[in-house]
Amino acid sequence: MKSASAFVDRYAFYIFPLPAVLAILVLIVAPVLANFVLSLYDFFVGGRAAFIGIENYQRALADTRFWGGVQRTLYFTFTAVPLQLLIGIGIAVLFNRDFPGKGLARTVILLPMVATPVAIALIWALMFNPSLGVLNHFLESLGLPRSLWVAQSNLAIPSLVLVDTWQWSPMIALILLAAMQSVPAEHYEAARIDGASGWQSFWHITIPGIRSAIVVALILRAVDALKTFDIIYVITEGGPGTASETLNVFAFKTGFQFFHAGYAATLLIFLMFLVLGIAVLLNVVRRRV
Amino acid sequence: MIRRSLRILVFSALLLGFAAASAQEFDWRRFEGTDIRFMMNRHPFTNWLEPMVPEFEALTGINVTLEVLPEDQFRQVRLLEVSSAAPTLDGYMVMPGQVGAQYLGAGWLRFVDDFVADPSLTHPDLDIDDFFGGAIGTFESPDGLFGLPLQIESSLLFYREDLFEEAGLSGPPETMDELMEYAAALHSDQVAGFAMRGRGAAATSQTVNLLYSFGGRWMDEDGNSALASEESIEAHEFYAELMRNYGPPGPANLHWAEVTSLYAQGQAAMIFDANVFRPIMEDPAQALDVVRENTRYAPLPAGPAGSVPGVLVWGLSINHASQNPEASWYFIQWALSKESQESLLLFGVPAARASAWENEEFQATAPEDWIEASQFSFEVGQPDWNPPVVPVAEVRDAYGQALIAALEGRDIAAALSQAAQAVDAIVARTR
Amino acid sequence: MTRSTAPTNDVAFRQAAAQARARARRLTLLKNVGIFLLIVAVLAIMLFPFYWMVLTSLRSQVDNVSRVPVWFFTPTWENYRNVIARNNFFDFTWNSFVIAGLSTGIGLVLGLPAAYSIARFKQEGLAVAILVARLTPYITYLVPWYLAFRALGLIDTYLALTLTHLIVGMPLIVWIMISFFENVPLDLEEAAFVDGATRIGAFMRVILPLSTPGIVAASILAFIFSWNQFLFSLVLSGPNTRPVPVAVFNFISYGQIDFGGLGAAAVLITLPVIILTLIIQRWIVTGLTMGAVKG
Repeated sequence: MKSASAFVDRYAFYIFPLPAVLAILVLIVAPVLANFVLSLYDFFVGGRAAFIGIENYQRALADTRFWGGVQRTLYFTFTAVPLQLLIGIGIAVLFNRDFPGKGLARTVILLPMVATPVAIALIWALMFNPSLGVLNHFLESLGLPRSLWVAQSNLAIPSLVLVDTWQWSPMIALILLAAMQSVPAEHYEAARIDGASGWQSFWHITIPGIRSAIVVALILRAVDALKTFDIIYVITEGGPGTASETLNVFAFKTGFQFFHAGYAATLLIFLMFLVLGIAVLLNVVRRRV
Repeated sequence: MIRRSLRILVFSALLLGFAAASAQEFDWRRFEGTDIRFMMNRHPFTNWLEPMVPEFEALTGINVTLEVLPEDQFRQVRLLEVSSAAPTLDGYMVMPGQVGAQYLGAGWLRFVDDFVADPSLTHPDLDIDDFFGGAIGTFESPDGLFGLPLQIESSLLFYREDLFEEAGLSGPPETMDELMEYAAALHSDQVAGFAMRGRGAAATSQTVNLLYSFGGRWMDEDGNSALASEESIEAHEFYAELMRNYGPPGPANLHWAEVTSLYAQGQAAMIFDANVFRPIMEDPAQALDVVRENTRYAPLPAGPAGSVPGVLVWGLSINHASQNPEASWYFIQWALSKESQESLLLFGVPAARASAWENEEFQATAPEDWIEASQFSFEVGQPDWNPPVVPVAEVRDAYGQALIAALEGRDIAAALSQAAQAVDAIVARTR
Repeated sequence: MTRSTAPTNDVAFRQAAAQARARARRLTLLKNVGIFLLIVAVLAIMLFPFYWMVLTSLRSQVDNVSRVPVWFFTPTWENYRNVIARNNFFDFTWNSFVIAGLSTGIGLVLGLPAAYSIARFKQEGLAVAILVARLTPYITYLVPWYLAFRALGLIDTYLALTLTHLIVGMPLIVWIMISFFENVPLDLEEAAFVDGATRIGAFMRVILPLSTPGIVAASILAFIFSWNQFLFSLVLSGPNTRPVPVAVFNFISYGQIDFGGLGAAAVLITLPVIILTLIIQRWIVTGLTMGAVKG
């Protein structure tokens, strides 16, 4: 007994993290490796698997639907994230002051990001409905023409961006708010004495002060936006046609509707490198600023 | 195992002279206490079935769980469960014309020939010959019978007689050209002239009616996709013109639920969809009074190649992994018996048994035009409402892309030829 | 600023100064009203979908499909009754509780020692590895998991769902707890060693009790994330284990006509999450950012 605990004490460095490491190996590393193996097979679930070498990769590179998926993934991410950043900064500035009910207001803006995405998505789908949805009613009462929202190809992704922005701008706002509160008040005081306008002190003091928080928020959001699945799948299933079919959704359909496990694994490898690549890239940017 | 020991038991019983307890006789209570689970599409058949299940449970002592999902999710979940070989699923609704090739190829269906041949497992009144040949035929494969049909369905034109009168139109459109003219005459800001499905893959079972009636086909003699043929282009140009000019807003979003609810809410003057949706138009909870009172039915208007609708057959099959195939077979026999099918038809669902259609109460109460149009469509219809390939979901998806392109005003010929290439590639890969 | 050095306080100057002050006050007031309205607008937009969800759940079918939105009506509980009675809602809720509870519990057992080890022994490589697991798209794991669980006959078992949901909760627990453990003074631990405690004893009796608030926050967050998880459950659950998000997606889809039922289901699924959020709101952003931002 004594020697057992001495053993643990001596090798605590290895023993404490061991269970978690094992879980990661089995649940994460193994499937990623399995994907590389699977990607070399033509495997129609229910049928037989045939080794085909790198054919799946060649197929993906020649597949317009794959490239379309990549393009739509990037389009979604790089429309949604900058928009959320702008709105997030706006909300942060707005909330970075004392006003009655501040605590309540901060709680309210937490709700979009914690509410179950499936529920959120279903409600937005209702609101988007071209004939009966409440959003078209708002447009009409403002004297604007009705919109088809997710029912029209070129509006499908912008509509989904709208949902994503509603859901995630508050997170950026709260990250930045925390950073703003750590900018020393003396800096603002000094700027005011120098006669700086509110805009100038925002631009020259606030922004540099929260720069690293902005980059952190960007990385987190970009990575999550690249892999958005729930709201897209529930609201449009990638449609109309493939108009909102991101790489994520295309891989899901390939694997679990068309049942081509091998090709799906190939697509997932591309997706993984895309996401991790962008994460690394943004991290390099973060070190620079 | 159980059956063998049962046989031994019976054999010993016979030897002992207790012939009365013979297992040769069909006994509804033989599988008392068994639990079975069927996965169902949220379809009018299921609406009819749900309240009837307690009757079966009382008759047999078998407990039935029906898991009901909307069609898209139904397909997805069924595929996942069936392929996972989980024994928790005993049976399901199935359209052989849709997934028959895939499911048979993968061995996911349990053949029932041994049950049919066993008088202790099949009720003497089942009468398989009573099912329409075209319906039972879809459940016959070279390896055997893999289920029974529950309904035979075809799409009809639903139209509002009152709106026709207001617009000075009499009788249903008989040709595709007339359909276009009528739609134009009926269309307004409030009420769409015409509506049918447009949601990509989900719409292909309806656009096939246009494809056939304009003389198109799924595949040519060499087994290549014929979607880019001249006839097909013409059919889809017609579809696009009709829906873009006289359809409801957002046609690319329309599944059958949207199409039927638009019509039931008085927002479309004509729709084209499955005849099985008649109960919706007669239900005060779902349809406006003016719709209920003025709905009439007609067959598909004739195109250059005549009126050639697709005919769809739904049925019930037993899951290959089921551990209660006998109890499941009991359920199927009961749900598709002569009495059940009559009751189903009276409920408004086009039953698959010939005897049901002869029921006097049905003939007296159902709309005459619905009966006539349905029977006409069954006669002239084509059973290949889906491309005859294994990866049907993928092929429908590829074809669905072309439909979206058509509805959004893009180049139809180009979209179809792209779809045809995609289909050929998919078929080549899964061969 | 206005304090003048010269004693010549002529009247005109004082009047001008007073006017300027008044104008500034009016401007400040106007600005404050503007800011107030903007804040209200932001909150209204954030709340509207929830408001609409509740409204939809309380309206009858006829009101829900009306061409013009119906804002005032007699509320009906019919939709809730339908959803709960007809769809085994409680079974699905129970499944969600079991899966989220088990995966959070196992996540703690595996994650707490790992977080302690990372904090104490500065195992940054491990921390990064866990972060990468969080960044990798979940769907990447899903195809092999599906094939493996299928081969093992584990589809539609709590085991399969708990294991996969572990991937959602455990990294979160580790990253939140690292900073907690780092803040526990080393002295306390060493004092325990002097008293003859083993490493495990010190961890259990000194470190963990001091970190209780963090453990509570991390557990609740892991629970919420598992509760909300859709993708894994969509593929790996079945009739015996289906959790609420998948059940809601399955029995009510966009194509269905039952708007009220959809609203009611959405309310029921969101309610527990909102209640939990109110308890640990301070930690939500910390959790969502994997500890990159302190609450």
